[in-house]
Amino acid sequence: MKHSTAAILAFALALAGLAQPAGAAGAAHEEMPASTTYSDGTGSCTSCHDDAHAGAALSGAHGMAGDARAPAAGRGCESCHGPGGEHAADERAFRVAQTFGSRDAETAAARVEACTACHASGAQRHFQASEHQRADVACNDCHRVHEPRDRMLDRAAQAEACVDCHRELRSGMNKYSRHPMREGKVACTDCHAPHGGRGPQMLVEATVNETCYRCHAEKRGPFLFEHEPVQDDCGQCHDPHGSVNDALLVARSPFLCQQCHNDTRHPGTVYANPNFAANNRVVGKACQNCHTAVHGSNHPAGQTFRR
Amino acid sequence: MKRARQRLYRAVVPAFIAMLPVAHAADEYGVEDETAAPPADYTNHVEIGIGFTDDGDGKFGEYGSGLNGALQSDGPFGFGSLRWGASDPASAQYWRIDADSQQGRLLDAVWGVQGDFAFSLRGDRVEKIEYGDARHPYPASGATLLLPAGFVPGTSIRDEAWYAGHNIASTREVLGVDGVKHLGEHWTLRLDLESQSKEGEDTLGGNQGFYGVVLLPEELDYRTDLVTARLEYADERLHSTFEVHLSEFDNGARRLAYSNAQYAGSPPARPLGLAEFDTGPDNELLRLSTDGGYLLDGSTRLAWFVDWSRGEQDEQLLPLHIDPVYYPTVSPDNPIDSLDGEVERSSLRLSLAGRPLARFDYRLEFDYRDRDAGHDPVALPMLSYTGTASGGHSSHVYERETRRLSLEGGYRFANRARLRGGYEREAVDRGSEAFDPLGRFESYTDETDDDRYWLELKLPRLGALSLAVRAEYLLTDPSLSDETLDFIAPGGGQRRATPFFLLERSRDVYALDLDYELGHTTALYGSFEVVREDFDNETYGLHSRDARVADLGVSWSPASTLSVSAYLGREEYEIRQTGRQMGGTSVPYSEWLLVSDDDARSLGVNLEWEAIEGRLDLEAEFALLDTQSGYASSEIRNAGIALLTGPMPDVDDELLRVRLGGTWRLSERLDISGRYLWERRDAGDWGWDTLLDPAAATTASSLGFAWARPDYDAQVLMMALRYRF
Repeated sequence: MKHSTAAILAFALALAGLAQPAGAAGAAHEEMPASTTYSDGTGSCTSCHDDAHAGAALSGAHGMAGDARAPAAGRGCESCHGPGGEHAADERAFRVAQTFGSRDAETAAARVEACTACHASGAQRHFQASEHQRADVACNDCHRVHEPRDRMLDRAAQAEACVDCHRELRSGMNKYSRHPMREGKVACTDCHAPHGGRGPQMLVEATVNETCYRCHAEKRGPFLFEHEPVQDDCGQCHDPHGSVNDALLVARSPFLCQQCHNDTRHPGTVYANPNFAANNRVVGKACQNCHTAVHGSNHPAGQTFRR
Repeated sequence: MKRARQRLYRAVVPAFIAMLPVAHAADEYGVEDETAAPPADYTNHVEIGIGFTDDGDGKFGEYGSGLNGALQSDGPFGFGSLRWGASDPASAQYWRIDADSQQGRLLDAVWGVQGDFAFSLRGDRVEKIEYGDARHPYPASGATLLLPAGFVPGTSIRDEAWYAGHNIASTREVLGVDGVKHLGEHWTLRLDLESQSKEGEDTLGGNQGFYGVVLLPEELDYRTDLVTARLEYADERLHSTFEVHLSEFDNGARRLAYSNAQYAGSPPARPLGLAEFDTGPDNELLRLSTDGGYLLDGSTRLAWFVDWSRGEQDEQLLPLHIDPVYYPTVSPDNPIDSLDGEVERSSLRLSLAGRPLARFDYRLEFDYRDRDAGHDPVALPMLSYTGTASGGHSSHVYERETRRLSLEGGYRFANRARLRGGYEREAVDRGSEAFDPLGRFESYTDETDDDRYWLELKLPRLGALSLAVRAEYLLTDPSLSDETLDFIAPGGGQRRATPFFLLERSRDVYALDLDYELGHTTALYGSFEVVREDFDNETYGLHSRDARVADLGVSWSPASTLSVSAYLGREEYEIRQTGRQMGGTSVPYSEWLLVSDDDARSLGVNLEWEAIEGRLDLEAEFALLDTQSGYASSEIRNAGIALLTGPMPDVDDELLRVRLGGTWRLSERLDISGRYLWERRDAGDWGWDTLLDPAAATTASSLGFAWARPDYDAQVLMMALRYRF
């Protein structure tokens, strides 16, 4: 750990040396007085903001003029950015009423309000009072309205956005035992509802197990013989965010099993040499070489989950 | 249940389709937006490409997409993608088709009128390579695994000539149809139909007593059908949904019989005939739920979630298979034909959140969950190794009730400082019903109470530095039943460890997060978290779990055309647990301590660069994950029999990936792109490596199935032409 800590610090210092001094242009813009009147319309904005970045915002759902709810059918850019009349007249003296450049927590509520004025139901219905809202996460901290493709709606790219904050989960996605997130086959939102979920940890279902059963329905049961921790919480044994052990296990078998089971019928040996390589309780699937049906058995002779 | 599902299909689906012609016009602001169109400048394209891989053993990760088969074979392969769509802003109508044979969904198609309705069709496929080339002696996979003619159990298994190799892999496929329809100003109807399948092979451990352990190729043939219908109401103050969800799981390969390749056997030790597995029953679920929220005033919201579900399973039990040659007197009758199992789950969650002051907010939540079994425990005959039947085995019916109350609040200070804290109490009752060895019905409950306190402080911003600290303390206080206490009581011949979730424990979490902005171009972040769990364990099993997770990263974007990010991570886990070595009935038991360490280090660099504006884009990725695990055992009490302890091998696992890519715009509509991927996995795991040689007596005496850990060192090169329209 000492070597790695030193390496991390050296890495950080080296990168810090590359950094450029802080600028003040952004802050100055934020300090301008806000416009209070609306401009003549989107044309006033695009006469200056004519790049792809600006155009993308009104090209998708927001640009559907046939939908009376869409910004394109209303005030255009000012539907989200608020009044910009004075800014259109003198961009050096005034800013638009609502800016989104600052990702600061202090501005989160205002940035959220600009979106939830329209997006207040559907998947977003529980955002208010959700974990993210209470943590001052605003919509544009994750979503990119001004890009042709919002990364949150791209299953292969979504996780990169999530680990911007949930940094401890990044390495899990690179572990060999993991869900196929890097391949775009499982996305964070398959299990979590970032706008507020039904269960703990913003899960899409009321419990951990119900969330897992969405794809692993064979584990649901009920079974003739049930394994209590399995029905209790899949997370007792598995880490869905990636593991250094096979099958997303939180510890290696047989030692994981021995956290609850010790010397019931088997010798509770620590499986060290010299019997190590020959021991059918440690190689291969370890305990599961025999106790195959650990998620529950429906065989009348399956009381020890052997079949 | 099946009838209910059929009724749903018959009633809801046609009704849903019938609603389309009477669609209402676009709604007002403030209503559901699930029909929203994708961005219109979502460029259409068609892409065709060719690739070449140099190593057929290259897995490129544990998972593959549609092209996985190609990447498993040496030589060239083709691929392609299509993105085609159009929209009419004036009418708000749009459609889009996405098809990709490499990454992302294989098929994603949508058609709709924004603010009115949307239909989508999606299909996907993913293959999971469990392990590399495996070898087993059974000539054919299937429901019955028979040994080839001439195979002598226990002898032939040591001769590789009897083995055939193949991959252990399974493929998941998903096909879904979704529809959403606005019904007037306030109502929205949504219907999702999904069919999942999982086919292929897994491995299954088989044994007949203490002898003849074999790993078997298990045929997988799962299918799950899901139907979800949701009606939603939304106005300015009230949002509420009503949902019906059905799930039906079918196991198409429910039984697996096999002849034992390891053990020749002779009476009275073990039966020699076919052993039979139940690989899992079908099951069904019906769930009704409602959730919603009501805005009491501008800053106070009451939210709720209520659900009720019933899961059922009534599969015919498989017979107890006993070879009559050896057990002529045993009656294999089951006391019941099927479990006829039923589990009802219900949940209620109420929360009240508000911001009574500009700087202060709070949240109060009550959560109740109940799992209630509708079937009874079953007393079953026990078949001893000598072939006699007796009573004494019982299924356990498990029930659980959870009540949780949490309160949290936050206060903002000046200069972006913030303090949040909370308290949570969760009480869990775990109930069991069973028959004791004398056939008496018993019912008991183990209780645990969790108290959790947490505090989060974001310090005032120091220039460009943001710093936040978090602390959490959890205390679990169990109250165990006499039955459970008897079972784990010291001194018993069948003494076991206390299940860790029933142990008295404390958990401390300390975390630090920092962000440092260096101008507008560079941002540094770091986080460090320490978790320590202590278990007050007077018996065997888990004593402590510690974790230390550190992450450090930087993103650097000196220009709008260049973005570089890098990260370093380290995770350390330590688990301490105790156990005892079997000493026999008259000899005291020696005790051992095991300390397991997992140390995972990750490093990654990503680059995106528009090298020539409007002409050349480059990207690169480097990722390395290095994991080392160690298992140190020691004797903590020698009670007369020396502990069989010694050095246990470490486990090293390294995964390295380099990805390079570039796109050159030949013209306004035509791109040419190239991608190169190198991936190497080097895994050293004694759990599998010792299975490599079936001829070695030590291995063959344990397992009659051999496979190699899937190490590989493979490259793939791909070139593609993309035409945009």
